[in-house]
Parts: sequence; C-alpha cells; structure tokens
Amino acid sequence: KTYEKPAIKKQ
Amino acid sequence: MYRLRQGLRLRRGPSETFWAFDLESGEHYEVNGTAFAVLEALEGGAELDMIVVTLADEYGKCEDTVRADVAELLEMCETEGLVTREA
Repeated sequence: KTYEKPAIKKQ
Repeated sequence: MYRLRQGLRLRRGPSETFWAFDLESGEHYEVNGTAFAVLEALEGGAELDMIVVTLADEYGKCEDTVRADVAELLEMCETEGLVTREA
C-alpha cells in the first residue's frame, strides 16, 4: 500500500 | 512504552478520514490512516517495536524510516497529552 508519513493535526 | 490516554477516543470517518477526540479537553484531531493505525495499535496494547515491524511490512517500507516517523508522531502526541510514556 502507499505509505503516508503518520500525521496528526489539531482542529 | 507508550500508552493511549484513557480519555481519548479514536473514530473512523467516511472516506478515509480518521479522528481522535479528547473527551477531557474537548479538543479533536484529524489523523491520517498511518497515524490512526499507530494509535489504534497502542490502544490495543501493542509495543512500539511490533507496530513498526507491522507497518513496515504492510507498506513495504524500511523499518528505520517507519520507526523515525512513528517516533516523531508519538512525540507530538505526548506534547498534546494524548499518549503517556511508561518506563
């Protein structure tokens, strides 16, 4: 699967 | 060893959207699929090494790259108070 760097964004 | 804080709830939204809700502060966070997989694994009690190996295998990526990325994510989560680090 295409790897995405883990990311988190506060809303 | 990292643990998900008890007041955090992980939810899948429609069309590949993922959310983390902090029931204590009312803050919420949008996370991508990889980050969701990491947090979900932590919630299930998985060790960091196991998470890294699983993700590296699933995505066909080098373990060192995944480990660095996951460490960066967990540092951010720790800063936000979403995870705790245990000895």
